[in-house]
Amino acid sequence: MSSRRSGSRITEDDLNELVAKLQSLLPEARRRSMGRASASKLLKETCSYIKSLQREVGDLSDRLSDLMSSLDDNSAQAELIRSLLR
Amino acid sequence: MQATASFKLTLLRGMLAGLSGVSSRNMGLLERKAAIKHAADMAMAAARGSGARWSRALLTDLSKRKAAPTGAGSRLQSRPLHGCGASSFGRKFLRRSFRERSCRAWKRRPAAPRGVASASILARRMVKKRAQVLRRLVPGADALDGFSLLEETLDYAVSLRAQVELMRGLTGALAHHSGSPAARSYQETNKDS
Repeated sequence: MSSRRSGSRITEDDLNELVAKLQSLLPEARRRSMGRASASKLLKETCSYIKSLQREVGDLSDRLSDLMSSLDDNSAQAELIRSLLR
Repeated sequence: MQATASFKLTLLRGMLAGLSGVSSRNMGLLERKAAIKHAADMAMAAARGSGARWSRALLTDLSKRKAAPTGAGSRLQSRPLHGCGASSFGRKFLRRSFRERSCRAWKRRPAAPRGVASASILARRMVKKRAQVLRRLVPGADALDGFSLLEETLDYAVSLRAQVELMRGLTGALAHHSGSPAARSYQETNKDS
């Protein structure tokens, strides 16, 4: 998992590589809104991005819950979905 | 940065297994919502395995909760996940006072040059509150600092995004097949995605 190259010393290259990866992680829209790249902005956008992803997992869980409960009402489609889930 | 194909496959399998477990049990709406989120997080952490700090922390945290949490238990789910306990308090206190001292020392220096972030500027800024926020967001990261924190963040965010993309796909597929009002409203709001 570690991207370090030599022993325990972190080189400037390691750091730049990690920063580049974090930048590429962000979706295009967020990267653009960052403007002039700075360490502080990158961290801020990353925090904001992670928060929005976590929120979306919660929302999607709610959606899935609603959709799955509605499966009980319709037997033909429900059987199809249930067979996919098995 | 993308999650690996094998991670996504393992995640899919784990998610389907978890969801089928939820669907086979009779439970109330709130309980099912919590159970699905639990299953999704469990699938994500299990797919990553023990190779990352966040996945180990998440697996530990999730196994402590029952698979079908009660109303009282589901309150835990809205709190950010990190290792708690008396033993970590001392560490957090020491780190906080260290950060405050180094923050004060840093403010006395002349303003850092703007523009491209060099390694030294990045290292100094790691002690700012952005790092604090990250430590709260990323499971198991409360003892991490600097480079390690960034590495863990990247790993976690990549996996989290894969989890979201998978759940979007599943939700879309279920909405497409189901003719229920819930499905129709989902299809309406996601027509262009």
